[in-house]
Amino acid sequence: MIKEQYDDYFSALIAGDRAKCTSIVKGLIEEEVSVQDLYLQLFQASMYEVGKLWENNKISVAVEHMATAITEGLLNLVYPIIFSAEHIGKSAIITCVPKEYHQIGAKMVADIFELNGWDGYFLGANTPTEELLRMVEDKQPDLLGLSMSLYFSLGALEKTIQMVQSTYPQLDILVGGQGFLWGGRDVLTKYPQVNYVDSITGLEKLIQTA
Amino acid sequence: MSKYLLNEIVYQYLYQQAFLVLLIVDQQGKILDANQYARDMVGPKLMKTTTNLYEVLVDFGSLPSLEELLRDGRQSRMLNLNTASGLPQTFYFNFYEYDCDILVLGQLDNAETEILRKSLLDSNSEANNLSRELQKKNIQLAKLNELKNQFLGMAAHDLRNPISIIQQYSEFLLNETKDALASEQLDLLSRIRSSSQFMLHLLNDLLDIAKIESGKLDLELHETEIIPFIEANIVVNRVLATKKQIQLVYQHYEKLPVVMIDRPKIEQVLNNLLSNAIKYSPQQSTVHVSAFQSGDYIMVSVKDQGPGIPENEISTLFDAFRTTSVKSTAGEKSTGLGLTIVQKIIIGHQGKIWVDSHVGKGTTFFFTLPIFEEELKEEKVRQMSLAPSVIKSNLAEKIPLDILVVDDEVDQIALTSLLLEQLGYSPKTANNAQQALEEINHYDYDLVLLDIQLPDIDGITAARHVNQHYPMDRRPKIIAVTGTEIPREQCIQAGMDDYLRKPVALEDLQSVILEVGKSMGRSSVKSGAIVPESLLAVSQDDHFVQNRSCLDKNVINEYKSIDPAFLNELIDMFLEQTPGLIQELHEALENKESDQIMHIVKQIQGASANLGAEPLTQLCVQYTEHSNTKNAISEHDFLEQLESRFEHIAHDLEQVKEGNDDKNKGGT
Repeated sequence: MIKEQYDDYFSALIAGDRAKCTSIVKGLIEEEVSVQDLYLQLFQASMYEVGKLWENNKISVAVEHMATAITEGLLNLVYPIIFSAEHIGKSAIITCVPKEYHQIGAKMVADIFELNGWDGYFLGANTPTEELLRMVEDKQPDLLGLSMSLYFSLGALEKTIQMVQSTYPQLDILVGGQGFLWGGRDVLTKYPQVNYVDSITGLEKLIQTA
Repeated sequence: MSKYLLNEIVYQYLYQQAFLVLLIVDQQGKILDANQYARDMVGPKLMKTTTNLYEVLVDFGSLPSLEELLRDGRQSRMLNLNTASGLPQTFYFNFYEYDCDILVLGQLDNAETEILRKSLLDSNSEANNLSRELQKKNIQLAKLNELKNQFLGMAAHDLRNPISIIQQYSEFLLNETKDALASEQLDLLSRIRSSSQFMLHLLNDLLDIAKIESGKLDLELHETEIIPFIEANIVVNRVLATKKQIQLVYQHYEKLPVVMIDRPKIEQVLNNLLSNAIKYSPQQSTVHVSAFQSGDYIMVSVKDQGPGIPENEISTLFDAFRTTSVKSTAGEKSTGLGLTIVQKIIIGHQGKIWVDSHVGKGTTFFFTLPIFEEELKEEKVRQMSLAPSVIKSNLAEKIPLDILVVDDEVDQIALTSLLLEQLGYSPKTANNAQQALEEINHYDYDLVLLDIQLPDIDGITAARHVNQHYPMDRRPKIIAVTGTEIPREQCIQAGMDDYLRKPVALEDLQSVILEVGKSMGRSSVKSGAIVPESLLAVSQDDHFVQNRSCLDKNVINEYKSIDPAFLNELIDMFLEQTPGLIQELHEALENKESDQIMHIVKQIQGASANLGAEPLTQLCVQYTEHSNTKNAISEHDFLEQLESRFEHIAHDLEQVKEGNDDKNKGGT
């Protein structure tokens, strides 16, 4: 169902036609397409494609930003479904490391937690470490998710892990994001309790066995 | 490269490709030429050669003249261009005079645009994050609200019984001690009574609200002739009205179409509106009730000549706990929930309710009920004719008994007699205790079904009397029948053998008769009525096999109405845990661990009582209470019966669960 509409959706997305994107997503929701499919096959697939076009200088960063803004707005349409899931009493805090402004992937991760019955708190882009620590203290989550979408945030990511582990050595930490396509996974092995997740599918598997 | 060539390249670049505005205008400001970017930016206006520069600039009334602009042409000037998108755009312009014409160059400030972009992106992300948080909290709130309703329902439900006991006992004390107590004490008692009555009323309202709020306004619609239906409700309220010398006048169309309504619920609506009208009416006034057809609706109105409701209070009239400033005329109390419930019931019937009120003149409440289409009516009739007919039984042949039914309510007598007739009995009846005692004196009854609240002597006293005057083996078995919560012990102490709750169900009567037959078989009192043990054993088993349900429907329905999911959990737990307990019981009995045995039996007893699984509960009670007496049931019999009863109950519970699941699915 998504496949047939993907091309229309994608051209509307990079043309900045928010109304058309909205109506396509609303239609899919009405036809009870699963949230997972919507996230993977529509939102994630189109955003990856937008990223590639930008990297290949086919579209400007302005278009990329516009597509991101539209996609984020569309997530709102799915929230009534996502948050209605029966909760199982576990919680995760998901955040971007300081100076990271690409938040949509991390937010989708928080949503996937919600969909699986967890409380998925999302702190947003460029979260200062002190604020993150305050939230961890407040919510006492079962898991912390850190998103890195650019490779050069690796230093900030390590710093965040170190700060968190100095106060909460037992807290499980999950890291992931497009930034790891360029490497950096080997750096993580020296931190106990830190696991790398490579995809939403991998994430769901991990949540279901947690 | 010659200078000329270089100039030409730069000019072509600026003219065709550069993202800056290039215009050539004459001394009057008329635009002679424009580069591609300017044309794209401004749109069709620049396609015409007659357009003036001042027509494409945003004019706030203080645009400088061309001369002024030229005077300091080397300095950038901030001016706004009307763009094709409809949004003005600020450019930094420079003006240069050449030959007789003027060259106008304008560019955007990129640093400024960058700041704008950044802050727009940030605020968009932030807004979306907030929206996520808000939606999460919204759904959490909705869940909490549902939980609150469940809690409200459960609290009101659990408080109802103890409070009705306070109310009944204070009533009882008031009647019994009229002569013994001082008037001050009687006053205190009557305050306890009226307060507990009010509390009971409040709790019933809360329970209604909780049910309605949690979306459980289950309407059982039946075809109803509305004219006599309203009439009947007026009759009930006439007593109240007469006390205040208020006249109730009923006007209606001669004939009205049939409506599909939930009768008890619409009765609640009518009672509420009528009693409100009476409550707020002055003495010797009139309350008008009318019913007529208006289009596809039946419209009913209740009009009083009371003080009227102030205009500013009308909009919140139907809100919960909003009582108005209007005082009732005889100090009647209000819970502030009545009209909320009324409104919800009417809306549930697809009707409307509204009020018209004038201070000093009176108030009229209107409500409408839709007239249902013929097809729908026929559909219902078909469904009703498919209702299973009651299966007659010939229990009377197996256990012949002479039965006396004592009740002051004619309806109740009729109902109980009807049920007994279905079992093959021909019961006699009495309307009060005196009459009953005379009957018992004259005739050898086997079984008396005795109402506790009789007008002359109450049932407890009457039973005591029978016990004192007849030897144990000559007196009839007495079963208390009560609409209220009177402890079983109290009935037993007064010499009764058991008790039944109103409304009496066929299954309950059957099991009582079987018990009576069994004890008679043992004591062999009456000639001709001796029932062999073997037959009783069979019929006892038959009873549980044949019975449609071993469960107390009231208990199950109460759970269903408050929290069906909880009921399912309870059933699951019961079904999962009981077999294990029975296994443990086997072992404990084998090892003769009496403490452990008692502990397990009590657990089974508690779990089955929770689900209204009476046969199992009773068996456990029988075992625990009589374990040391001569009536003790053998361990072998006990285990066998326990297992077979559990099997039947498990079967019934599975069915309840299935029904419950279907209902849940159907409801979404």
